[in-house]
Amino acid sequence: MNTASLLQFLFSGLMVGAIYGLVALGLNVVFNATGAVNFAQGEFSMLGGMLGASILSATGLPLALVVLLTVIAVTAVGVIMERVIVRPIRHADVLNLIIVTIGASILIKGGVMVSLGKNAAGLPAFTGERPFQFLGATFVPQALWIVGVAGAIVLALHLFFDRTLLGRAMRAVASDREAARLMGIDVGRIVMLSFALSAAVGAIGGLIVTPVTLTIYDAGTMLGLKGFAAAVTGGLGNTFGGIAGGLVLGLLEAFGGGLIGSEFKDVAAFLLLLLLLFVRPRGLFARGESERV
Amino acid sequence: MVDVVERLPGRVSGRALLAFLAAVALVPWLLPNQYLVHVVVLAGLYVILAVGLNLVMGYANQVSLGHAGFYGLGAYVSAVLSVRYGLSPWLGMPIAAVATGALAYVVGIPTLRLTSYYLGMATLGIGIVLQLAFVQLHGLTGGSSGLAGILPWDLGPLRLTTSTHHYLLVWAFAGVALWIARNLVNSRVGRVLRALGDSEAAAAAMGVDTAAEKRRVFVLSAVYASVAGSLYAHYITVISPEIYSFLFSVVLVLMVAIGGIGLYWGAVVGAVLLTVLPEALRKFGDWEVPLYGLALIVVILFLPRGIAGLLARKGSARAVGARPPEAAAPAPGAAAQAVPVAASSGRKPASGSGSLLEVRGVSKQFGGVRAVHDCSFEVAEGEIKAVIGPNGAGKTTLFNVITGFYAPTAGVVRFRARPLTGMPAHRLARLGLSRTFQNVQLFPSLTVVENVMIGCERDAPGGFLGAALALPGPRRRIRAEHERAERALATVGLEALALVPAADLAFGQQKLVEVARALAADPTLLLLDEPAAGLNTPEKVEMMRLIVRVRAGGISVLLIEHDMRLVMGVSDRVVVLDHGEKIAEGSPAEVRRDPAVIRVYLGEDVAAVA
Amino acid sequence: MLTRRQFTTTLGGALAAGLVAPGAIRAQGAPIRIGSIFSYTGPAAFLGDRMKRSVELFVEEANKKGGLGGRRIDLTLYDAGSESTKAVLAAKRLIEQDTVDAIVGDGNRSDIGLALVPSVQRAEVPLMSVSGATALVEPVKDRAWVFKSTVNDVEVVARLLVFFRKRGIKDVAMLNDTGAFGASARDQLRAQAPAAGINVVYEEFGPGDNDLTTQLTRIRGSNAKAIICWTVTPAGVVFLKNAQQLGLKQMLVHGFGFVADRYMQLAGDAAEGLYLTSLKFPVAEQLPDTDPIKATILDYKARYRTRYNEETDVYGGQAWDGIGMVAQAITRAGGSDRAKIRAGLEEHVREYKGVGGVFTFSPQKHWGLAKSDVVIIEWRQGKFRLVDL
Repeated sequence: MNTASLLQFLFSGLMVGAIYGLVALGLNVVFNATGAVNFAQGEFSMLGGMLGASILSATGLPLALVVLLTVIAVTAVGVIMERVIVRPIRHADVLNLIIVTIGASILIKGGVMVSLGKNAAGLPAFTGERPFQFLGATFVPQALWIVGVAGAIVLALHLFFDRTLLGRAMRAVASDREAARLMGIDVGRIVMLSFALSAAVGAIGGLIVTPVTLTIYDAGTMLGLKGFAAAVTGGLGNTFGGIAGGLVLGLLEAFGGGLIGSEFKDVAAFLLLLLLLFVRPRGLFARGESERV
Repeated sequence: MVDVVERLPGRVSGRALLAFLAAVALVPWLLPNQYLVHVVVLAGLYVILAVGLNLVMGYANQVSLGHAGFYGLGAYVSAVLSVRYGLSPWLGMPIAAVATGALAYVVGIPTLRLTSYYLGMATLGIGIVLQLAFVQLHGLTGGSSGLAGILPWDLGPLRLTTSTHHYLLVWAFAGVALWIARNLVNSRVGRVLRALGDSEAAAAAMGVDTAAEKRRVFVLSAVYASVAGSLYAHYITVISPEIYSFLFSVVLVLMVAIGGIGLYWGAVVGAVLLTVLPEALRKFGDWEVPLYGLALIVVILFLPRGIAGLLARKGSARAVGARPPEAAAPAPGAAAQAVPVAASSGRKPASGSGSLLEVRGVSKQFGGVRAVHDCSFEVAEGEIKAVIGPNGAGKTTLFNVITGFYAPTAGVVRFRARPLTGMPAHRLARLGLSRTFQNVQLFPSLTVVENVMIGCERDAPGGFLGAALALPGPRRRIRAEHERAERALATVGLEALALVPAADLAFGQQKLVEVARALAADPTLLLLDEPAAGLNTPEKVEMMRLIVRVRAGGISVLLIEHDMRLVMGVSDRVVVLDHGEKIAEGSPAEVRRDPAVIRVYLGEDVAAVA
Repeated sequence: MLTRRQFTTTLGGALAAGLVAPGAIRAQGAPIRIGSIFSYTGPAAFLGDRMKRSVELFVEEANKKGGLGGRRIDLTLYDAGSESTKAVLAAKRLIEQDTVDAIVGDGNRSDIGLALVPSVQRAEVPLMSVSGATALVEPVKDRAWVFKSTVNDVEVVARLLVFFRKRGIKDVAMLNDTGAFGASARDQLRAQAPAAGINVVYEEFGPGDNDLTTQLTRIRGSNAKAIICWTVTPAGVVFLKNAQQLGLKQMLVHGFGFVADRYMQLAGDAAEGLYLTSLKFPVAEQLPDTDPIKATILDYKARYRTRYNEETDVYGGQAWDGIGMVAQAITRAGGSDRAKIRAGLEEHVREYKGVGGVFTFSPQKHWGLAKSDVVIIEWRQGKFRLVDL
């Protein structure tokens, strides 16, 4: 194992980890607003890739415009999902919410299969495909886009939650729903916003990664599951812990697969999940106590 | 007595089960071809899976997203043993069941200690890891191609060949599975599970080892899944890993949800429906997938209690006996009885000497916040002690430390000279501490008398196996507990409301039932968290009388309270907290005159005047 | 005494015959019942679609001509949904409820086909498989009722090793997916490579993997001069893109499950110069006119194009051959009961000119193609080109 190979694993791990982190981010935003895990989060990313590819091949519009349209469309899907499926669940019953989001993920997956087809789809790289070389390892320009855009989203959300009133309102709802409601915060709108936000983040994640990995109607399932593992790694509900969790997971897959063997790659995410649940269920970056009576 | 126990809601009729199984036995002869019999064989397997999962989801209020993994483990262990070692399925199946049960036990230990859906996450991981293992360990399991040539079922010299033979075998197992599940649902285990689904904290406070109870049910459901898996493997004689996917785990959850989570027959309805539904959806080709998703959503939105819930609603209106009486407060006459609870349990009366509870140097810090700081006092036997203080003084935090819901940052709590630190809440109940909650944590799924019967849990650990097999011992115990519960209800004057669902009670009645529940535990020390909160004046008077009656029965009392009249009226001694520190202790009269106390409640100026 | 099913079918058939356009020859006698199991949903679906339509086309055309020996063909199709359980259930239904005489199609994936073997063996119903794993038809004594209308990976791997020797390549890497198709090829390579004097480095990936840089990095560190990828899933496209990204200079070769224009287009210029093992089908136009099956292929392609307004592919051709051979067996054996069909396949399929190759079955050999039916092709400038005949 020379430096070049190790460096290659590092690049690969960071790139894939950024995507897992984005999925985890979306999961955490919704989790904080509703207390439930949205199992359709992976489908938002898949939709980003599939819709983007379809719009591009159907209209031939410039890529930037296609990206914008796709993000708007998927955000709309997220909002519709919240309005039609999530809102009617009374008392925010967590078990029912989980089941209904699983149903939504199957519905979205099946809907895409029926309307956009079963074939894999791709997108052109944003700024070309000539790989860069660095100390013997290579990466494509799209990888820079992936890490860069993911980073930009993280920064933007951090500022949003920290500096804007709306962002703080969302944090309030996450902290104590009832109290937030009593303070005059429209919890229903916050929940809808959380779905819109997570759908948009998911769509962007799908769009930036499809040029490298392709997408297909059932790509959302595994992505959602691995993103979930990333979120748990960082501590479920810890918005930015999820990003770190994603990076940890991506690096584990790359180095584990590279150094131990490719069989390890598939299973790495879930072994990590199990290990954490047994040893540190609140995640690697959790702080403080919980469980008030 | 038997009559009352039989009438408790949620009970599954034995006769209904027998009738169902008899009808099931006739089915193969009514179907035109073996293919349809095969479909109903699958339905039988799914019933076993769904009934087990429903115990976890409906009663233990957890979700398992990895039951396909247990199904697969049962299939693979049994199949590998038969293919590689020629072991008969009759040996392979129990071995697989033990292995699966052990795995479920290990998974359950860390995850069921915590509340909420850690089990869901862990089972998600386990299910996927198991499926990946089936693929990766291809030397053992045949990898993606799976295993073929698995030994088929036989009954000694008799080979089972047709689908009808297998139908009878599978549904025989399903019948046993249904019978065991019925026993559990009807037993104290069922009651305890429904209770902890409503409020884990309250159940734990009553002595229920909630983690252990959930774990037992989870292990049982995994064993059910394993048995179904072994049945399948030796029936089809070929298995492959993609059967045991996350998607199949989702289908199983869907079965329970469609049927009705927590409704016994719901699992059967859901399983049969979802075996038959794909046959019907098959003609839609590609649309089968989105229609499936749509079905899930529609069921949850419009039938949150599932299909069986639609039917059950008509039945439940009949099952409830007495309607709650209009009067909010119980009749004064009934309450005047000074029925001492202690006498019937044979405890020695309060000697009035020695300290029962000792709180020494207790501090509790949350991050930078000091909720309680260096607090010390004692509760003597036969004493009624009150802890008062303005809001935010740390009273409830102190209570939670004493009752084991928080671990103290410093200091120690001793009960009869025995340190309590680090003991989980349910063990404390067994030592003789019993509590109520500030926001009334009754179990709305249960009737009033069942709520109070939970109070008897501290004396009845275990008994799972006996309950599962409907042995006579557990049934006798239920009757004894029922008597105890009725006596406790009589003490608070609410025995007329025994069969009313707890959710239907007025708030004042709920508080009294909670006290009755705490009394049924036969405690040495009763801890009351703001017993007068939310009560009107006559109710408060009743509560005061109740507290005095309780002490007369030999039970010591520690209470938190804001209502001064109650505190001054019943307490022997009073402790005053402010900002987490004890600022005064003494008789009610002494404390009332203490300038430090006055300053804290009424402000500097008033203190100067007094 | 006719069963209810036979009665209804005859009645229905008679009514249908009455509605047929004037000029068509009426079909007489009890219909021939053929069942088909393909996956047209799920991951294997992109293969199953064309297979399904090819079989439907064949039956349509045969029935227009009056059926086989005057008897119309009743086709019953079920979707295996890329899952073995569904396929086994479908097979049961075909065998017991629809009482078919033969089954064409095994869910178009090796592991699904393998799952069906016990059912058809037990029920003694002929199954025409369309998947690649050798275990489907070997050992013959345990596969008396299973035949296959495509080539075995045993021959494909052998052909590939011959090609490597011709090009003087002694060190290769094998990157297969963990599905039955990939795993079977890996096992074949393990068995045959030493005798051919070729050293192999083995890596694997999951069928849904979307990043193979880790495996390729390890391969880059080895001596391999050629990298073989063996899968039917889109991960094979990721393989090409990652190889390009890493700047790998080795020869890239794909297995015969990847011969699809669509995959090549998805890979873009990463597919330029890719070698593939394949049947002759994709390069039919480039075959010499003397090639025995060139005309058959072009004829089938034209018919499919006319009927469905799209292009077919080598996989649709496998299904076309499958039902074609079953039809021939029925016609030559003079009957359509299950045992007759089986015997017919074993004895009357000799030098059958299919679109996949020239098939010859025998009691000892239930796969009809040989090494000579496999060619090496290359993707260059938007088309498949014949490289090594």
